[in-house]
Amino acid sequence: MTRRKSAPNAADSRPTLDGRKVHRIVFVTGKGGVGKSAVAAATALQLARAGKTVLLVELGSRSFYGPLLGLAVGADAVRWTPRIGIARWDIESALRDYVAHYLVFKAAADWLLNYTVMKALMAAAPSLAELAILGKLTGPMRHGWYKRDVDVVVVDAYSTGQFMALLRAPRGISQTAASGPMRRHTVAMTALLSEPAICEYRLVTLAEEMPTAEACEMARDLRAETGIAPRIYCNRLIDLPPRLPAWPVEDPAAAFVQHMACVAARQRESLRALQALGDARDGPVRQLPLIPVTDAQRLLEALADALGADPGAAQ
Amino acid sequence: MRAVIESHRVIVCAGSGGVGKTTISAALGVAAAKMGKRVLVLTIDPARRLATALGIANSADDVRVPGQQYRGQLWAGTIAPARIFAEYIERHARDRKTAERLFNNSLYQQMSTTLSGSQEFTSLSKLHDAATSGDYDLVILDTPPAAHAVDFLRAPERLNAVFDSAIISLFMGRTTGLGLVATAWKQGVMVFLQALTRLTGSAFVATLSDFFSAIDAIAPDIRETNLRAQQLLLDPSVAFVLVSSLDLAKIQEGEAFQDELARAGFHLRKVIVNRAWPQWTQDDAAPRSAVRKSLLTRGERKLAELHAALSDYYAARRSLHPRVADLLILPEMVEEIVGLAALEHVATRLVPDA
Repeated sequence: MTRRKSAPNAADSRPTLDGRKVHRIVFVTGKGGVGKSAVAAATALQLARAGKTVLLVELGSRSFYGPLLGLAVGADAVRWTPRIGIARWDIESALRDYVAHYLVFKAAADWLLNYTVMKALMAAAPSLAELAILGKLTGPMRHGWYKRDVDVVVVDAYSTGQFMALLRAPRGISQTAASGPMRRHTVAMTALLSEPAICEYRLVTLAEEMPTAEACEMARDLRAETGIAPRIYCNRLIDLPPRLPAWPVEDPAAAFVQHMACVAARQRESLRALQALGDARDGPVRQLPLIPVTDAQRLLEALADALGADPGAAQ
Repeated sequence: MRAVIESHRVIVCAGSGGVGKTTISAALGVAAAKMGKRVLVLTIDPARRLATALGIANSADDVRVPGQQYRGQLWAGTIAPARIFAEYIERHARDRKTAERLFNNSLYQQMSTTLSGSQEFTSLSKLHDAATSGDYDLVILDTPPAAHAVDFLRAPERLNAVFDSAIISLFMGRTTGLGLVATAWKQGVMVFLQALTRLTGSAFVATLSDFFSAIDAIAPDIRETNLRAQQLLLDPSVAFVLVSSLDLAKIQEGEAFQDELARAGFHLRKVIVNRAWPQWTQDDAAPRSAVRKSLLTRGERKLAELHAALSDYYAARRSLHPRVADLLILPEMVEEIVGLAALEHVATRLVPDA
């Protein structure tokens, strides 16, 4: 791959915060099974094609991209393409980073980092875990010393309910913690998550009733929580003519045509519901095609093509 | 699948989000009822229409699913974590005031609703009660939504961490050891609490201490239930069924889950690949070209191209063969699955002659 001309300028497109250049954050979320991780990876490819350097971060207890792309994905970024690194952040290591930095007394830090105690704390106050993840993500925006040299971090985030819990964690904690460094951090995080120059939210759905209903609800929740409307991506659409012909029942093609007619009706219905979101979505409903290949790399490249065709794509 | 239903008293349906686990659990219930079983399907947070179909949309108790005419009986119940935790507290709290204090604690409120682990724990608690009640021949558990199938297996460990007696003692300022050990422990606790206060502020630490003091009363019961539920899951009469879909990532996840189950000593009896491909896809070239010919004869060139592309795609998917023992593949239904009649349709595919 040749380095594109636009590359040296890419860093200039980074937002400025307190006089420092910081990276942007693109969160990709949606109901389980809608292809959220594939869209997140394709988003990274799309941004890389536009000359950006990207860190693709997956959350959770095990790696999705590792087995899929044949990479050893860990806490430190592993190179996927010349401009994209992939990392998996788990709660334990994020919390460890957080605590270790703020506790000066070694004995106290040892106590806190003690496996049993940490497990108990996280289990008792699950928002501490969410906070650790957000703390790591927004580190460069809150501290001059925290360096992360990429243009964009794309987060393959949790699915619907758990993602909203992640976004709500700082506000929840700041209500319980009336003082101390944690309060300062949570207030800063809440502000950052609502800053459109820093954060973008991409919400993926399928043209099926349940995922669409969940996406509509979540789009409104997201806007209410952050003030930022998400971009809506309707995934795995089949390009069908507006009207399918009536077909004789005995004909060999009847089952196929009937299925396509059902799909067409479902797609129309879902797109209409997503359009009706109005202000709760950012821009038009983005339509992504069903890509009929089983090879992961080819699928992701094709999905990135589709994302790139979107006029409001890589800003 | 008939043999699995025939020879087990519990079926645990596991799988990651979006694979259709709840639908499959309900359809398995229908199949079992048709086979003459008195069966209970337990689910957490079902989709509105499924809840309506099962008659549990507005009910906290287990209900007999309306509109059924089976040899056996189909029952359904939802799992409400907050309510189940509240029952534990009502049972053990020293007095009304202690219970109220816990209900009002913000950490308790988080724990009883959103804590990862509490949904699984309450599911297991209810499963254990139902399976040992003698009311049912078979109980089917639809596991809580999770990013990965294995999350269900790890949940008890997470919950045990919070109900660990040493941790509770730590926050209650109680010492369990003797002499020097106790003194060292106390000093450790002091340093720890000071550090935590420094980090989070005194209000947060107070909430935390309050929480741990208040759950002290229910901790032994929670630990006991957790233990009994784990023992139940290990019993050979408990079958695990993994619901999956046919793409590479899900297949890899399914394989990992199978390995983990085997290591832990659980019994994976079936892997169901849901919505693998549409019903119209054909293996053979002859019917495929007949469809193509028919589409072209009627001038539907675009549809013929689409048919060719999709047929190739699904043929490629058919060749993805998971390394799992007992596989059952379900094709994608044309219509969305709504209502008891549609569940019966799925049930027929799970157990053809039920």
